[in-house]
Amino acid sequence: MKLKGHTVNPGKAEGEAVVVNIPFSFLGELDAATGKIASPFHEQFGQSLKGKVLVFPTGKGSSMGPVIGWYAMKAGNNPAAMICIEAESIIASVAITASIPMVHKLDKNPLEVIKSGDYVKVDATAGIVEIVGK
Amino acid sequence: MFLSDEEKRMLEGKYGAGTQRAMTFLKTLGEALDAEKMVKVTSAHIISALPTEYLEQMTEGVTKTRTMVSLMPCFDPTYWREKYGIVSKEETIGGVGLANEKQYVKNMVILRNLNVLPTFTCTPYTVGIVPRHNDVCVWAGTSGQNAANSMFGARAPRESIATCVASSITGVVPYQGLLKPENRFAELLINTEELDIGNFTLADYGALGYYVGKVARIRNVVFDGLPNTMTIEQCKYLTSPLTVDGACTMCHMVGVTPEAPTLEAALGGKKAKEVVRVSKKDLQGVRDMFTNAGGNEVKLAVFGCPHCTIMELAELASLLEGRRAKEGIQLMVGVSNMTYALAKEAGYVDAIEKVGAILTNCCVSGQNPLVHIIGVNVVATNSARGARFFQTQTAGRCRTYYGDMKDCVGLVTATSERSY
Repeated sequence: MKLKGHTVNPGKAEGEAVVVNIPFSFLGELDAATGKIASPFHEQFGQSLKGKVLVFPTGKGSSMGPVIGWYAMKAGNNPAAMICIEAESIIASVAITASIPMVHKLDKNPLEVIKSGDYVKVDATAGIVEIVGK
Repeated sequence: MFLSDEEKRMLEGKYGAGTQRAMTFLKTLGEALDAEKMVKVTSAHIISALPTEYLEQMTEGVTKTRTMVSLMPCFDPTYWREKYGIVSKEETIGGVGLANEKQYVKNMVILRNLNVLPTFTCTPYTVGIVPRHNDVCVWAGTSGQNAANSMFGARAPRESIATCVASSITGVVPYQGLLKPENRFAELLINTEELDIGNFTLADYGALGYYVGKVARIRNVVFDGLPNTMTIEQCKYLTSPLTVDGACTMCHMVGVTPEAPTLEAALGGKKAKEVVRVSKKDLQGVRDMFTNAGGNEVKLAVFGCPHCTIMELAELASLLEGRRAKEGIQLMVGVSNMTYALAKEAGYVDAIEKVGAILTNCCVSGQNPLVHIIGVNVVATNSARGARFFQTQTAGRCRTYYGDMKDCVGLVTATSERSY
């Protein structure tokens, strides 16, 4: 299945999807040193996002997100790509600062059509997401 | 996206690599968010806790900023080493960067050379940087963003530290989000009928703000039923937790927010998209979540997230009168240098320091050295924002006790023995 959307930050990447159903904040929820979800209050505590395609509704929380994204980039621990329903400025800034290909505003709700474990190809430059399967 | 000739020159690298990177960032961001143009910035607020390599890249070839730029609080490793013997060799603290002294010194040299104002506060409005209605404030610190919008009617879009840095260098920001009048109306109506707002403490306001922020996510809200005599402190504790587990950056307080003389004005003459009734039970849920430690376990009491106003210091000084800190318990108070100077003159500083409390311009939650370096693991606070940051930015290691300033002071101090 192919989805068409809008570029947040250009680039191409692919990987296994991790779907997070609630808004995401890099500060407080991503451990830059491991690439895992760091907050024990998060349903997916301990889940690694390193090299994964993170699928989530939108950003939330701290304006310091890009700093965490930068440190995670330097450590090679960021998601390979990000897909969200609609980005707000802070999560978009994280993608741009940390060079993570990212798309949003797709023609279908990504939270409904992408399941954790699906293999997903993201061409953020063209705004295209391809769900290849498990 | 439309760029002016000067903006194009920045993008093409006529003003050096740093300015080019900043404009490239802003253009990419603007296009992602469908901004049709850039607008001029009135003031920018950034933080020194940045990766040095990033700061060097963004300021390469930049000799001055293109707008007034001030600074967030930041852990100053030299100060804490010299005064308290606390040393961090890490690159980050509480997830935020720059606990390393060499990096800090390097960053501050870069920032001072650009004439960035060393305000070191998350409440710029307490140090004379008071936004006016319709000013464009590109401020790091989501509590300051919300305050600029909701208390002062300035236009403060929800922006990241990266945007704030880029806007400092270029003097412009993509015209999107809360900069546009049509995006500022409330969508969610918060009904507080069931709550006893008249008797709310500041911690009650914080619980309400946290709850509503989580429900609102990124949507604008209007509160119905708040007193139109809200103090700066009440506004601060209500609005600052709206962006902790949410992204609600515009909160209309009817009769207080310049754009909300009436409920109808806040809603832009439309019907609310959703009405949220907040119950006493909802707020108790927040208090319970932020009190995951017993009062007898508390090792540290923290006030000043966001930084204390002069009236909060007056209250604290009065609460501490005739009291002493209990054995093994510390107090820490976050305050800007300017408010500190005023409080010193007024006698509050001496009254607070008498019990051994540390007054600091450091961030007392996300960068609190006692919690993040020394490892203190139970904190009492009157700040919902702070409580949540202690919990999440220590991956749950630090537990919290949530109560009003009076409760917290009662918990960590005892009556001093009189000496005759």
